[in-house]
Amino acid sequence: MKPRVQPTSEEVTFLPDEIIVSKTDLKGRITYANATFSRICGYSRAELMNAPHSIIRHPDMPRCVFKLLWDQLGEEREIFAYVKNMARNGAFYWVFAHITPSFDNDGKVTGYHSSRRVPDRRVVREVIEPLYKELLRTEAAHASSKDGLVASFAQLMNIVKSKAASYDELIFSL
Amino acid sequence: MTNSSSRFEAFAPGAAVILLLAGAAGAVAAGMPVVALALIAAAAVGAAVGLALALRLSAAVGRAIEVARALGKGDFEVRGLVFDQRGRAGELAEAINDMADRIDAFVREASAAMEAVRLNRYYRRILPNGMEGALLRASTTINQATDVIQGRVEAFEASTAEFGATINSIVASLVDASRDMGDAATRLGQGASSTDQRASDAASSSSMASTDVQRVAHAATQLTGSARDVGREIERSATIARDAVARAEETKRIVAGLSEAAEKIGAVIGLIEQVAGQTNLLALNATIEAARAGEAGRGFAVVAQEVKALASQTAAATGEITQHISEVQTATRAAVGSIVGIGGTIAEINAITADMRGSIEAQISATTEIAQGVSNASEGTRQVSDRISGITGIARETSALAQSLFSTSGALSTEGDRLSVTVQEFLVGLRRGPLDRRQSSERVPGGHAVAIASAKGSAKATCVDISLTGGRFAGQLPPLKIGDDIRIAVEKGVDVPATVRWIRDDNVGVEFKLAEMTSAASDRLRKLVSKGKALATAA
Ligand SMILES: Cc1cc2nc3c(=O)[nH]c(=O)nc-3n(C[C@H](O)[C@H](O)[C@H](O)COP(=O)(O)O)c2cc1C
Repeated sequence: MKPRVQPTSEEVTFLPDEIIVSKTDLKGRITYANATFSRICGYSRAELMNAPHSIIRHPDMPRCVFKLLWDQLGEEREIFAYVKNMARNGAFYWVFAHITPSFDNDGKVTGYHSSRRVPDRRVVREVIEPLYKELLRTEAAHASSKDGLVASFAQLMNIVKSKAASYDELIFSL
Repeated sequence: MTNSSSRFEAFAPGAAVILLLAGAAGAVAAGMPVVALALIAAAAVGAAVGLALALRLSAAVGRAIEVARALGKGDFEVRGLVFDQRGRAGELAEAINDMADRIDAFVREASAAMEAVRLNRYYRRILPNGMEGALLRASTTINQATDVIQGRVEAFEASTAEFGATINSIVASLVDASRDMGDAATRLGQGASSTDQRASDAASSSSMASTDVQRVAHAATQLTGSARDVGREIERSATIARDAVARAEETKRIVAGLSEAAEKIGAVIGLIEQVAGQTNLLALNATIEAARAGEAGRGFAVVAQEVKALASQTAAATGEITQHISEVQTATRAAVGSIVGIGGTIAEINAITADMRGSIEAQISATTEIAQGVSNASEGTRQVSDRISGITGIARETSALAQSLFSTSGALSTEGDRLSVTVQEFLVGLRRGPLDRRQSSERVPGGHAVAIASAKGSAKATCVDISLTGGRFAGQLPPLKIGDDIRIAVEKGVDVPATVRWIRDDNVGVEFKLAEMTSAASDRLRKLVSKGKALATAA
C-alpha cells in the first residue's frame, strides 16, 4: 500500500482548536477516525476503518520512534510523540500525538487511542526535524534493518539521557 | 450544513406534500383530474422522501442515544460508525462523535496528568489545545493544581535535600571528629605508654641514682670518719712531736750538764796529773836521795820506786780518762748537735702537722657538707622516685582512658554512619511517599528461576512472589541468616541487591536495596512485576 503514494513537499495544516482522533485495536488497526482525521489525510472513513495505522506513515519517520511508541504502550504507559504523517496525495502534516491505551472495566487493555494536536512549529523545525534526520541516517547506515533499528534506538536513548531524566520529560520540556 | 438548510431538509418534504395535496384538491375542484392526479403522485413521492429522511434521522438518533448512554456510563470507546451521511443525521453523528472525542481526550489527559502526579512526575501537564469551555477551565485548574503541587514538592525536595545535606555534613563532621578523636586517643595512648615507659626508665634510673647517692653518702660519711681518724692521729703525732721536742730540750740540757761535768772532770784530771807528776818528781828525788843514802836508803829507795810506779800508773790512768772524757765530750757535742737537729725537725713536723690539722679540719667540714648534700640529694631522688611512680600510675590511667576514648570514638563513628544511612533511607522514603510505597509493595506471583548469591555461596531458587520492593524465593538456599546481604540474579549480568528479612523452611523473604540497584536491574524488576500483575489479572 505504501509504495503507491509518493511523498511531496506540500504541507497540510489544521487549526489549534481541532484534534485529530483515532482509535485502534491492539494491533494498530484503525477502529475509529474522526472527521478531522479524514479531512486532513484525505482518506475517507470507510478507507481508514480497519486499515493499519501505518497507512499515513511518512518515510521521513525513523522506525525507532515507533518502537519506543509500542514499547511504552506495551507497558501500559501513555506516549507523546511528534509525528510526520503523509496524506493520501503525498502531502505531509506534522502532529503532536498523544497515544494512550484504552481499558475495559476489568482494567484490561482493549485498544489504543490517539489524539493529535497542532505541534509547536519551532520545536519541529529546530529539534525534531534534525533529530529524526539523524536517526534516519543511522537506520539507513546499516545493511540489516534490525541492526539499524537497534543502533538508532540506542542513539535516541542516549540523546534522551544526555538531556533529561526520561523521554517523557524531554518531550514536555520542549 | 447550515441551520436554515437543515431546517429546510426537515420541513421541505412535509411542506411539499401539504402544498401538493392542497394543489391536488384545488385541481379536483377546478375539474382538472389529470393535474390533480399528477399532484397526488408528486405528493406521494414527497411523502416517501419524507419517510426515508425520517427513518435515517431516527437511526442516527438511535446511534446518538447509544453513544450518549455509553458516555454516561463512562465508556468512551463507543462511536457512531456510520460516516459521511448528509443532512441532519450526518450532522448529529459528527456532533455526537466530536463531543465523545473531546470528553474522551479530556478524561485521558486529566487522568494521565493525575497519574503522573501520583508517580511523582510533575512535568506532565494537560495540553490545552483542542479544549474549550468547561473542559479548558477544568484543564487549567488541574494544571494550576499540579503547578502548586510541583512547587510544594520542589520546596519539600529542596528542604529535604538541604536537611539531608545538613545531616550528611553533621555526620561527616561527626565521623571526622570521631576519627580525629580516635587519632588523638591513639596518640594519647601512645604518649601515655611512652610516658609510662619513660617514667619507668626514669624510676629505675632514679632508684639507681638514689642507690648511688646513698653509696656516695655512705662513702662521704666514711670519708668524714677517716678524716676525723686522720685528724686524731695527726693530733696524737703532734702531741708526740711536742713531747719529743720537750724531751729533746731536756736531753740537750742534760747533755750540756754532762759536758760541763766532763769538763769539770777534765779539770780534776789535770790536777791529778799535776799531783802525779810532782809525785813522780818527788819519787825520783827520793830515789836519788835513797841511792845517796845507799843501803840505808835502800828500803826507801824501794818505796820511792813504788811511789814512782804509782805516779806513772796514775798519769797513765788520767791520760786514759782524759782520752775518755774528750771522747765523751766529742760524743756529747755530737749528741747535742743531733738533738738540736732533731728538735728542729720535730718543730718542723709540728708546724707541718699544725698546717695539716687545718686542712684536715677543712676537709672534715667539706666532707661533712658533702655528706649533708648527698643526703639531701638522696632525699630528693627518693621524692623524684615517688613522683615518677605517681606519673607511671597516671600514665597507665591515661592509657586506659585513651583506650576507652578510642572505642568510644569508634562507636561514635559507627553511630554516625548508621545515622547517615537511616537519614538517607528516611529521605528516600519521604520522597517516594507512602502511596507509592503501598503500590510498589503490592505482591504479584513470580515463577521465574533465579540464582541467589551470598558471601557463603550461591544456589538456584524460584521466585514465589515479587513486588517492586521485595520478594519471596524458594529452593535449596545457601546458608543464610537474617540481615545477610545477597544478590539475586534473574539473568546473566542483571542482579538485584537485597537484604534477607526472614527465613522459613526453604523459603526466604528479601527486601530489595532500591538505592543500589542498576537501572537495568530496576527495569527488569519492573517488567517482572508487570508480568506478574498480568498473570494475576488473567487468573
Ligand atoms: C493509536 C495509535 C496511533 C498511531 N498513529 C500513528 C500515526 O499517526 N502515524 C504513524 O505513522 N503511525 C502511527 N501509529 C503507529 C503505527 O501503528 C505503526 O507502528 C507505524 O506507522 C510504523 O509502521 P511500520 O511498522 O509499518 O513502519 C499509531 C499507532 C497507534 C496504536
